[in-house]
Amino acid sequence: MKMLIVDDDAKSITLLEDLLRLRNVETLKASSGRDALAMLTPDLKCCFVDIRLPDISGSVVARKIREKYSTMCVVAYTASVLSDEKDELIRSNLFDAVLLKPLKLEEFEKVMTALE
Amino acid sequence: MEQLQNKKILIVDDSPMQLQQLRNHLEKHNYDVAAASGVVEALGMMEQVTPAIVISDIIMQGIDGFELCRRIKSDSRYKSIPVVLYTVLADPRDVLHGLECGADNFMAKSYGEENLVVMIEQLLARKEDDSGSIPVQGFEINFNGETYFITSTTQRSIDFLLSTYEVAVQMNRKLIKTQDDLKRVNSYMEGEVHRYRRHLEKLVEDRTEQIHLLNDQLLGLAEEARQASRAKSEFIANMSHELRTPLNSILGFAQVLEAEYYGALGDKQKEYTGYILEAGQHLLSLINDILDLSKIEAGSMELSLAKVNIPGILEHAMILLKEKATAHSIRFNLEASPRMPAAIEGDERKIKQVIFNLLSNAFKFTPDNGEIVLSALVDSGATRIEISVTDTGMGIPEQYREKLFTPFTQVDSSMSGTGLGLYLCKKMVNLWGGKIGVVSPPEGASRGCRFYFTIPIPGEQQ
Repeated sequence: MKMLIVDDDAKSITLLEDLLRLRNVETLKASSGRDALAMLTPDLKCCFVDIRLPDISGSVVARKIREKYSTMCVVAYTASVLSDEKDELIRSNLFDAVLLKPLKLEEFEKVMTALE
Repeated sequence: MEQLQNKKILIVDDSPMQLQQLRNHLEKHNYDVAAASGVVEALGMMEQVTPAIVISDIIMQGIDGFELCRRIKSDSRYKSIPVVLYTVLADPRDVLHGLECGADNFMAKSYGEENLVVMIEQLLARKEDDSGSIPVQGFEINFNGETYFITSTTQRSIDFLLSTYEVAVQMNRKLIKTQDDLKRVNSYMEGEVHRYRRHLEKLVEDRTEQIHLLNDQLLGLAEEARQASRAKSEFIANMSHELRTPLNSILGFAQVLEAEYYGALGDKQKEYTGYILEAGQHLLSLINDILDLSKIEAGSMELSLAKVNIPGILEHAMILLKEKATAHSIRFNLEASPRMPAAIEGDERKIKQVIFNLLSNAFKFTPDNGEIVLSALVDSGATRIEISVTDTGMGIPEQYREKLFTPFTQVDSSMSGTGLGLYLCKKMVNLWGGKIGVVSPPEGASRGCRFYFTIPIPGEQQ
């Protein structure tokens, strides 16, 4: 299984990458939205997308993924937790799940269980 | 001029003031004046006084001046005494009546004393000239549907006419003067009005300009305020984001270590990892509370109302904290009124936040083997719900109870916590018009305290 992590904070990528590897998931990493879009392949099971990316918004990345691969899972991985920001993410219908930073292991487990 | 100090004048007027005035005028000119306040009195005085001239008012109480004149003129003893009627002379009929009753002349009240003296002198002189043979002419005059029979000497008639003319000329002069005065006043007033209007217009212009200026300033300020508010919201969002990103590493990696995914930890490693997690969590609650606080300070905290299932929230809270209670052998019970409505209008997130805040305080201060009760009651009128958390902790000393709900106040500063929790609770409860408070020790208990807050139930409306 292969998944993509998009985040401009290297340590946030490492945390998720290690947790995924422990579950035997192969990971790809991108530090910007454009890089991520260039790396999309049909065999990706899921993309974890940070919202505040340096070039384009994570929401835009999510929309492009949806347009290209309608069955691919997209999970928001974000520190934008203010209630209006969260509401916007949920209402946008672009994400299958939202993982908030700081990450809680049990939340991560829940999302992974849902994906499987 | 010949001195006439020995000549007596009888004046008749029912107004004491006018009588006095006339007397003063005449006495100033050395006439010997006798005064009567009415016709009867005047007639009674005639014999004794034997005046050289009678001057009488026309309109008087009882018998008028015409009648007095008529009586004098029909009395052979007095008929040669000139009678002057003293009047305002507003009506031509007065002239005819005057001639009819044989009056010798009349005098306008507004005539002036100089003229009066001249007239008196003339009358006295003439009396001396023509005393005795008076050729009498009788003729009828029709005026205004009335017939007047006048017996009068030509001289007397001419005097009357001249006096009338004189009065008319005088009145005309006065009228012209009054008219001129009026014109002057009028043009002065017009000038004033014009100036005043200009002044007002200028004032209005100035004020309008000021108002426009102020309005522009206000619009500018409002825009600045909007921008400031936007900038503040953005700042809050950015701060939140920037603080959470490093916390993601701190708490994330610490959780991975604690889970021992990469091998077992030694005791110290375990202990320190626990501290990192604890401190990281504390930092996270501080960030959350400060965010809430800044939202409150910015006035941007709002209620998002929806149907809220209170019993559901309470049970959820019980499940979440059951483990913690068991770990510390704390008896943890829920007492909910069976009359609790299944759903009320409320802000679920904030109600939960207040309940969890009170519960986590209770757990913090309740010693092992203690007891915590979460209870929910409905008042008899079903107008509000009261949710309370009762513990068996150290209680709240009297002097702290007021300050407890202000920011950064803690009874025991050695305890963890931000000092913001109860302040935020109060703000949230106030937002929905509820009350929050503490009773320590709780009713019927010897220790601990009971924190409560209320949620109003909106009246039956559908």
